[in-house]
Amino acid sequence: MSKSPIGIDAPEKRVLMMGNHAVARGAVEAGVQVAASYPGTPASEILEALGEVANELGFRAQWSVNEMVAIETAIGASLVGARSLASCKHLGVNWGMDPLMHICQWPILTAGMVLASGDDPKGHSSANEQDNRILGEFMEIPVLEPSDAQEAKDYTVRAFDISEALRTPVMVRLTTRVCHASGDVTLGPIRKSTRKPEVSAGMVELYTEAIMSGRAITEYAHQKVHNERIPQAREISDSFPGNRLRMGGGEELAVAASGVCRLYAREAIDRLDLGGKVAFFEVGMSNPLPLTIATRLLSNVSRVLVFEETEPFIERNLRVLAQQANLKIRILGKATGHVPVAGELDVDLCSESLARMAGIEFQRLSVGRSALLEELAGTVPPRMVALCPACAHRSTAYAFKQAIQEYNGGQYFGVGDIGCYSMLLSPPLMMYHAVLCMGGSIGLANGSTQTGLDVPTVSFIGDSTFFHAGIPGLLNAVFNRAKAKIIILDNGVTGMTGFQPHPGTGILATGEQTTPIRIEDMVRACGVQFVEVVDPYNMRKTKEVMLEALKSPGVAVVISRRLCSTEQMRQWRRRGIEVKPFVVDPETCTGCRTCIETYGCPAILWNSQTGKAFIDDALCRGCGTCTQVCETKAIKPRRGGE
Amino acid sequence: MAKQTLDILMAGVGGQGNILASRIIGDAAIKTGYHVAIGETFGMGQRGGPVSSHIRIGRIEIYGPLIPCRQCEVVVGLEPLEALRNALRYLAKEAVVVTNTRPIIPVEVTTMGYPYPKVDEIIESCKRIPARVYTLDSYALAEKTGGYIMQNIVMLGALSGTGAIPVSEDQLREAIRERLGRAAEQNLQAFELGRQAVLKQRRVT
Repeated sequence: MSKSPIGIDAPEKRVLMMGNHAVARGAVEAGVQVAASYPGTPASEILEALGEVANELGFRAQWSVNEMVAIETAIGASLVGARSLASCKHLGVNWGMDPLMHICQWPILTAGMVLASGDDPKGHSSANEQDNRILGEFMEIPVLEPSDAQEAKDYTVRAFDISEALRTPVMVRLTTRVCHASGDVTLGPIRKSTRKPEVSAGMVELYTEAIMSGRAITEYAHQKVHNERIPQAREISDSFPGNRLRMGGGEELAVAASGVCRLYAREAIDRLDLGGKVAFFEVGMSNPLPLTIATRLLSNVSRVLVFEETEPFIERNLRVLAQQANLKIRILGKATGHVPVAGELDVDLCSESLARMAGIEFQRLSVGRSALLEELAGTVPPRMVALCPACAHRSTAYAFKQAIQEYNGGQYFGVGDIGCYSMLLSPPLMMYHAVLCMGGSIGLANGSTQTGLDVPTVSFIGDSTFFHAGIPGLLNAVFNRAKAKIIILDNGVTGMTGFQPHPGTGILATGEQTTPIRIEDMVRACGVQFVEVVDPYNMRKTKEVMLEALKSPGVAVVISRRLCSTEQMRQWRRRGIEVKPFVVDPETCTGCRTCIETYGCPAILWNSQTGKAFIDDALCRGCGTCTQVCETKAIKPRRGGE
Repeated sequence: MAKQTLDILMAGVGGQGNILASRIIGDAAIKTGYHVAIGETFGMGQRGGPVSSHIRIGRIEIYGPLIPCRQCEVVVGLEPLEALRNALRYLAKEAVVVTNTRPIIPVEVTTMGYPYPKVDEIIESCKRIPARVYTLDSYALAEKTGGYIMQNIVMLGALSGTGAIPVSEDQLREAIRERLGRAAEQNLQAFELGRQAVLKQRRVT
């Protein structure tokens, strides 16, 4: 039996579990048969956890090539009667919107399908803020909002049942503070599906019904959603255990909150001693809102303050319900300026906002409230993210800078993509003029190269991202004769999200072997004539090949291949291989700072006393690429015994 | 209303094993009969960026995974600068800071010329917040057992040594055994070294 808490058959056992693992556990308890995802923070650990237990529990879990395929995989399974889960970060749902916008209007699923969306308010690991509850409303499907790990598990189980009852996908909408928060979770029983997949009538039945009713098929199906599913969903919402109203009677002010904001609101109410003085509407299912409960709230108080992330979604829908019921009530929140619009909320922000509404004095104990603390804070330097020591992306970028310098004095339009290498945007390398979306590096090059721009457009895209979204853009570039210069940074893993495999790695989500797809074969199959593979640790050779690519007449692709150094370290550690760090010879170092100012490896530090560089052996991973940067040859391998 | 939770903040840099150490505390607290919430800030921060875990332990109500400003009873610093950064924002009055003294220099210090304060100054600043401060070189202690990779467990022992958390050292040891399997023995030694380092300082003061 499974050792992982995701797979153990131990009802009532209480274990520490992160929100993402709790969603995976919920899917297992609900008897999921097919699960699919593409990695994306904050949702990656859902499928990772399912992949670890899939074989022993007898279901299928896959890392799909992208989220559109993952979502289609789940829909396909549910159409033939297998319970399915698709999970991804908020941006991944954008990729799946095409299949989703169709399946949501065709009530034909025959087994439950859950879409777990990991939204990232504040963009901890994302380049935008996006509230996917709005996509749920757009799709007219139920949206559940767990606040912690226990609910993440319980709501996932329920989501399968609701999906099956309504024959539509159900969104479990998570945020970073639910996905990446751990809490004690009481496990439930594991329900194993014994159902045999089969072909059902699907669209055929609806077509027949539509023809009989004399209406256009699309219109008929959509009308059916409004006549049947939405009223049923409202009933489910009214009896959903996460939708709770705590109201004693006589309260003038109410707080409404969903997701993790429910917990912030609860703490704010307690610390302001407002328990029993304000009504509290906890929303666990936010689309559709529970009509009966919401109307009772709106009829009995005169103000409702709404805490939610990130758009004023509940706030707006409460306003609609109030207007429909002809109730004169003030709904306060983001749209009215009573709650911050962008970023995450927290206990202090909720406390401040609630205190203002309740007419109580409250000020957070922040650093800025004390002159001493402010003075001390002034001594703390910033710490941002950086590429790891020995990261091959740094070497690729450095070699490219040398190549473009030689080619035309360093002029180019640089477009990055989504992965660790998007960090090359920051100093010292500052590679890009734009980084947009998955596959955008090649996609945008299709436009910029058609304008008469007199400098080359260079796209930088990772291996996993290339498989995800780079191929159509590349095909388009060859087809339409766009002179895009494309550098594929192949580090052999989906690095940023935690080393998940992709089609190039030959490894499945379960750890089993499969046939690896070679990037160079894909590139050649797209019709690219100039295709070269280089090792970025050899920066001189890499530069030469990049220069040739820049000089070549059409689309050129350079595949810069070297395993992710952090993954390399993990493998070395398992095999007991020791790192051999490099050292700066203080006699030879002239203190020119070239290594620091042009290369930026975090293992190379500066000794301000001696005015020379030195290498931190705890950080150095022994790649030695810095020896190619140092003009005075002051960096050397450490000799034994030193 | 009286505070319902005991709040611990573990602050460090990506790759230091913050998440594992905080989950061991969570396991041990659950075994002791508490409810637990741990908010983990990582993601892009997993490589070299700041990583912090907000660990909240409570009998009845634990609320959300983020500690409000200046309400935290203990800051555990896996890296001294991160200890100070978080202590300034989160530490309650007269609370505890227990920190490793070996810095990891941010790239910004090297490339952009921000000064990294001397470790003594960092410790002095923590004391001025004010806080009771315990210090140890967790890397040096970890090197005596399984290598620097175990410095997070040294710091877990140090936290246990402060006596500031409602979880016994035996529950922590048990949680280490369960989480770490074959590597448990060396990690338990690392735990002990950290614990003794702080107990010694408590006897002096």
